[in-house]
Amino acid sequence: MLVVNNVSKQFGKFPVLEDINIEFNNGVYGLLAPNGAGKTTLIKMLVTLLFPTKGEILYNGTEITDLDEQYRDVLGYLPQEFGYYKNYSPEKYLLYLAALKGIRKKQAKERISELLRLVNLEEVSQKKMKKFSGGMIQRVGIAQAMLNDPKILILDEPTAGLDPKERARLRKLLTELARNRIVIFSTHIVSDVESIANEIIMIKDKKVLYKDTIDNIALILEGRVYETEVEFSEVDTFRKQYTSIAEKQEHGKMIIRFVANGKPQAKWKRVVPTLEDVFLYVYEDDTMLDGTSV
Amino acid sequence: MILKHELLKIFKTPVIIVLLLFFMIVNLFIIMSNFYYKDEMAVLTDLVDQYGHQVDEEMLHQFEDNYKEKVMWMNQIVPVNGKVYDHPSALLSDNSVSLNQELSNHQLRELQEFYVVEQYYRTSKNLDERYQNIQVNNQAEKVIHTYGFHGNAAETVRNQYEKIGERLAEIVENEEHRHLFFMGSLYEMHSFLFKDMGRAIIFELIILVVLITAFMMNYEFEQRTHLITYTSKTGRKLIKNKVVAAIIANMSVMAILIGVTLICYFFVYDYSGLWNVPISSYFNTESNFPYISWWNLSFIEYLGLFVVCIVLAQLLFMILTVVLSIFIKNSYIVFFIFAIILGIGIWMPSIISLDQNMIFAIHFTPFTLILNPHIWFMGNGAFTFFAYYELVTVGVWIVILGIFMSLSTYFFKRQSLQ
Repeated sequence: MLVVNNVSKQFGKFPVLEDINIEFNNGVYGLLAPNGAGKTTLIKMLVTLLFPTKGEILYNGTEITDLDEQYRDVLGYLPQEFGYYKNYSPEKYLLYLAALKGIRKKQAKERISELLRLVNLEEVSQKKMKKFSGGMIQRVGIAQAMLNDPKILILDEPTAGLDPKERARLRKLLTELARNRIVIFSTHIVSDVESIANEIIMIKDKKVLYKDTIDNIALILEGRVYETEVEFSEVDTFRKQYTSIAEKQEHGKMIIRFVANGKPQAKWKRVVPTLEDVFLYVYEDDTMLDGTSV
Repeated sequence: MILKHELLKIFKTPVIIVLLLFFMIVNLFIIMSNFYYKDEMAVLTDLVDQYGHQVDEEMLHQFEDNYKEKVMWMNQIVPVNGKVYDHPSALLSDNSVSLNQELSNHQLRELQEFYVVEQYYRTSKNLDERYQNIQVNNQAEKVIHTYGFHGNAAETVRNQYEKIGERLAEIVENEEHRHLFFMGSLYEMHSFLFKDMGRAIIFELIILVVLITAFMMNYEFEQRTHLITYTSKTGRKLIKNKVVAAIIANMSVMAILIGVTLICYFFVYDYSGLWNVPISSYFNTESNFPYISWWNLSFIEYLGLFVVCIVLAQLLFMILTVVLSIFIKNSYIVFFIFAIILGIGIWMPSIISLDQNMIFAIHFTPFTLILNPHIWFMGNGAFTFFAYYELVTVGVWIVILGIFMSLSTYFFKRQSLQ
């Protein structure tokens, strides 16, 4: 079990995270927040690149910095910006990283071949990575994170640069991998996590806003999300009255999905709230769920 | 395995290979700049073949006999009206004789070689007299006057020259000075090898060592792979591998550059028979004060110590670069900052007052150590003439930089890596 205990992080005098408390057990955790909310800072503390200004991070009851290489031995990490040696082939690069992860060469070769097959890079395993597309590089990144069969797999924006097909493939892969490990998946794209995450963690204003299942988080807006048709001339007035989440044009009118706290009107159609509704409502309007503005 | 990968990163860096090749070519040009002495210098090699390099009574006697025979030969081949020359220099300086017309090319060449022999002959004969005329006290006063020492500093120069005088007496007693060697006053081969070549090698190696070390230490940050490598099981201990790889890479580069340069040098200039000549030989003297090594060192021993001192100085620069690289994550900025530190290290002594002993203390740095490699282990010069100057400088700075390196690696363990 990985526990983040009262962790705060400041850069100089500037606080980025305050009093973060999270418990991770086996399963997929979606760390969902817009860019700049502190996701990467939290992740960098989880992988020992940064250290908390206050609080502690424990793995099975011991501080991760005390565990040192024992902790990093069970860690797999794909950073948001995955660096690689342009003139290396995936196989050569993974062999080097395997050596850093303390894996013997013979064992590493078998594992690398298995992982490159898994991420569909088997055929280009000997080609220099400088010719690879963003998606291919990202898949090398996923392979390297899995090299040591980690108990904790942390992926920071792993879908960046992937096309829809590759995103779907990654989601499937993570579902398979999540069985016996903690997978922490950071993203600002709701669809990346909504089908695979056991729990979603949302960060806002430097603190953990929610840590719950997708259904429970969606319940927060239960009975308050509607769709209705609005004349174009009335759209601006409507937006001022209600919190618009999504809008589309259909049959010469605007169909608006929105959140309303008061009594519904007859022509409004109540819809089942989704995670995306909550995400957009929470972050786009800077509005708290009790309806007060911050 | 990790070490192998780290080393490959450096040896596959084009700038290092190109610079290494470029410096080898530069050194070849420097070596060839004295090429016109080569034939003349060969005269000494023949003399040493014939008499050995020690100038003792027996050698002088034999040398004199052969010299006189050669003088007779000289007077026979020169068609002058009854004039007899005692030395080839007398004949060569006689403008009334047109040697180019009277002598064949072969005879002319032989005469010129004989002129070179004359320099060795006459110097060999006058060795003792020359040493009797060396006034160490006067030399001390000359140094004090030239550099403007006064107060405690001037006193230190006098005291130090007293010690140098004692060592000079020991040299005379051991007869270290009585050995044939390339005539310093003519060819300045000591300065050529140990100053010109030495400084070139030292500064070339500084460029290579600082770049290699900075590249090695910052490689992951510059390739943006640090987030992966430093979160692996090895983690931040990877810098230990990087330091070891930097040592191996730097030692290899030093071995290649120094090795190739010296092999080329000794291939061009024949030192056969001279390897065991004491470095304090009078023949090595280039000015009016001879080179006085603090210990009885042969040329080959001195060369060995010279190489060791270069290597140790470069290792000090390597450690300094490691420390800088922990705080500065860009190789070229590290190189630039190193250049500034080197510049400050060289400039510092110029702002110290010449009446305090601080002026000598400030010279105990690797930055000033590298400036005068031709007087390492010698009682020559004005600021670095202490017997254990090189040893103390290297020793003290290994401790200082070692402490800095330990502190900075400790700092790196808790450094935020963005």
